[in-house]
Amino acid sequence: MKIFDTFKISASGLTAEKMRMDTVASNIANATTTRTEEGGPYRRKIAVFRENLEKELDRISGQSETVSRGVKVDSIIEDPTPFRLVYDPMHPDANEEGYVEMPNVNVLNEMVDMIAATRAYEANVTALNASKAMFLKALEIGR
Amino acid sequence: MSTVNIIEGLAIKEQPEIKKKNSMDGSEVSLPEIFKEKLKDVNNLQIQSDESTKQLITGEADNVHEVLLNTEEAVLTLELAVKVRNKIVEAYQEVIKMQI
Repeated sequence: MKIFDTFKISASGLTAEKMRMDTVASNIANATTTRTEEGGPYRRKIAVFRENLEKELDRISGQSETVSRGVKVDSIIEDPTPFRLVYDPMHPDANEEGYVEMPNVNVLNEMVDMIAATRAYEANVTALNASKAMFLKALEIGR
Repeated sequence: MSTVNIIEGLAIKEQPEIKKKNSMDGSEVSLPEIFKEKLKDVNNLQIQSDESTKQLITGEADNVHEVLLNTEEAVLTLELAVKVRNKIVEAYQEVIKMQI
């Protein structure tokens, strides 16, 4: 139904922010992971968002128009920055000089990203509540 | 949902045969039919909401907000349907009260 399109847009924002939160959680969890499927240490993941547009046929004019469906996670890319080198000769993954390649995850940065994701999620919920309030106000017309 | 069934019963009984031009194809569709159809939509949203709540309880749902959104949608459409019904019943009673 068309009246709930605003809800759907906000919902897409919520889904996207949840995805961002998932990548942050993964980054924090793997902050010291030195072994991965591809070999080598864990690379920091970044969620990339894309505007979600959809072509829709107008019922009356019969012409196609672009409508916004909110946002979607386009892809999850890997941070190309170099790995951290930590001196730890006892580590099983240390090289000949005793250095270990650690993931390029900075937990402080991740915390900031986490706060940003949380706040963005909250903002989407606020937008959703506002559109709900508008709908309820419209129901009060003529009372 | 039982609430919707009650409304459906009420609304259909009390509807006089008003013919309305359908804006889409110009054919004549009676108001009760439109209302019935829309009530079916409302009912479907209730069912969908029930279904997603069930999924949340059984742990199948991956997003909590989608479940809550479905519930919210169901609540709001039901509220709108009740408002429309009240208006129709109001109009009907107004006609009934008319002095002949």
